[in-house]
Amino acid sequence: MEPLGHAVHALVSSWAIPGALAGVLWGILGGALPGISPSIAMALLLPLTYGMDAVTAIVLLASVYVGAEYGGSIPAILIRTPGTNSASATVIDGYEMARQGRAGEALGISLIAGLVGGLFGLVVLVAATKPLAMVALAFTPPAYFALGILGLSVVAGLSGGSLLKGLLAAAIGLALATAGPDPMTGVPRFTFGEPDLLSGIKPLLVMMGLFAVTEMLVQIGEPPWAKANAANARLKLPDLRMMKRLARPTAIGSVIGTFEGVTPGAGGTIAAFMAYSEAKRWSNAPEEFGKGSPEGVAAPECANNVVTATALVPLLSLGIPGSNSAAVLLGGFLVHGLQPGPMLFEKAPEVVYGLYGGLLIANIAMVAIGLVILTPCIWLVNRPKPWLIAFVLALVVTGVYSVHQSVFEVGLVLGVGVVGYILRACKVPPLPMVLGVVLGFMIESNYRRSLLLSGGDYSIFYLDKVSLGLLLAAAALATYSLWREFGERAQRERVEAAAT
Amino acid sequence: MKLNAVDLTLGVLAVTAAAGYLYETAQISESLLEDAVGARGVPLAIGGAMAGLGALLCLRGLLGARNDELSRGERPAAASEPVSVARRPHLQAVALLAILVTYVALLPYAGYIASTALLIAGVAWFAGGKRSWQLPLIAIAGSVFLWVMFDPMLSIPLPAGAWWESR
Repeated sequence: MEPLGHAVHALVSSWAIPGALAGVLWGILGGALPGISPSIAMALLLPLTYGMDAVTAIVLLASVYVGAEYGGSIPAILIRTPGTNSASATVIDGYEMARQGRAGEALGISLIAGLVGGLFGLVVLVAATKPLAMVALAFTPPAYFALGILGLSVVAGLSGGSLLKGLLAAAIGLALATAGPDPMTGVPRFTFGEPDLLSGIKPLLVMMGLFAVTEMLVQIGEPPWAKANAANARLKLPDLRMMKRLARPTAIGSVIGTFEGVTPGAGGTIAAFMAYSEAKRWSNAPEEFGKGSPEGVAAPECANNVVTATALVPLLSLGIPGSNSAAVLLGGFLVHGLQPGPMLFEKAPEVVYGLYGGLLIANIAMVAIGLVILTPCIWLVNRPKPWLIAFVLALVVTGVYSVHQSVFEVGLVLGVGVVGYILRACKVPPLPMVLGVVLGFMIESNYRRSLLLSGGDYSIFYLDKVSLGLLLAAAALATYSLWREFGERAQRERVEAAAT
Repeated sequence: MKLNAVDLTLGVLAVTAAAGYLYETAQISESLLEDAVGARGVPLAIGGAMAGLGALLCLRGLLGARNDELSRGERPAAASEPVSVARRPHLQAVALLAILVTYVALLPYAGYIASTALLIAGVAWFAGGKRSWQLPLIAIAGSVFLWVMFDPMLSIPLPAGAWWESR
């Protein structure tokens, strides 16, 4: 009962409940705007969390993630433009339903499937995180170093088809992490005489630049999206008969979302497409898929909402962010001086249990808010895109300035945005770079501390059993990701060869 | 054999960045508390890795290895479209960046409200927003709204502007 007590106390003794409601609201509005991914919606709020207590800040950010996954389905269904990447699979049947005048029904299915997925994911999160973190409590410096390497091994799965580019992005992130004082001697490195760099480059600034500024630099060259029609979009929740029909695709989405969520690098988009594909395979009416099947909406929407919770398992237990949104949430922890990972349950249990409670509230609130917010969402989607870009940028620069009242940091964020834009133009995935920035300090400090303990003997990394296990796990994860990538590539080439 | 321009460009950029990074690594001063690895050790390894990865990308670009992304069915824009069309988004991004850099330069002098109003108006105008009397009004209203939210409400001081303070 102690965890429940922690959760209730954390929620009632802070502003976490209003934070959860505000987060869901902001998330739905942000997710509904094509171009504003959950991570951008979260990153825009990140500077504002400085003045908040840790529980409120973390619940707020996690609730944005929950809300954004539902919000992303609104333009996917209404205008065939997914508001978030993970809503891409929803477009297939959701838009077909809208074309048949059943947009409200599709939106209702998305909302309820999202609720089921979010609650299921929360159960998995609560059940899996603490045991994993307890194992990690026995960590020594070599084990922490190996944990950092395990985190970096995720790069293989995040490289979007090119391992070389993924590794390069990770190396750039690691290079950025070396700016500031040397972790062992305190000697300043890469500061260029600039006082603002003496304490290093904050991961928050890298995330704001990579996610928000880069996206706006890309969006300025993209054509405007279509207008949504509010006439046929009266939200209709599924009745009991429909719920019975949706039970199977929802179950499929839950299972797939769980596995894809806890696997760093997999994420909601893959989960949604896999759930769609499996729901079609196991459906009694597979011929309806692609022609407006409610099951084709329920399965991906459930899966991507499961991921909003299960993606937090590696983050909370090991400190490894497996997705962009988890990385921004990690930024939220760091802002409040908290390091997610094994010690979090010992040092700040109220934050972990408060987060669980906040996620429960956020998922339930999503239905209530989702029912009333559709009209403002459609209004927002129909606003001219130039104003959206202008206001997002104004919010970004204001938010960044507000952190340390530093114009230099605003410039730094713009610089990172430019690097992100160049990398994106060259099809380099951004998340390995974020991983490098976030994990760089942990890897370097524990590597050097381990060698100091062993008197320069490298055998410490394999004589320590936990370290050896983690290094083997890193090798296995990297091999699995590569095997999966090569498998997918071979399959694509077979399909292309068959088509020509 | 056809070059892979994306890989080649990225490779050259990576090698150049690695060279700069390694040069700066060499400038790091030594400490009396130095351990076996030293303050330069890890940056040297990272710089070396960046240079190696950049060289491999250059090699892949020169050998014309098939672009991974193209194998997913994406259209090679540079090959099939007029250069002016393919480059336009990049030029727009550069212009947007110029507006942002001007904003950063202006902020300490013109202050938050004036420079942010100019930023909102400039970006909206450049991005193709409707050019009417509403444009400056919305920009000023947006800037004041953000200032009220951050400065008086959240007690986060925003720059008043050296130009106004000196008067």
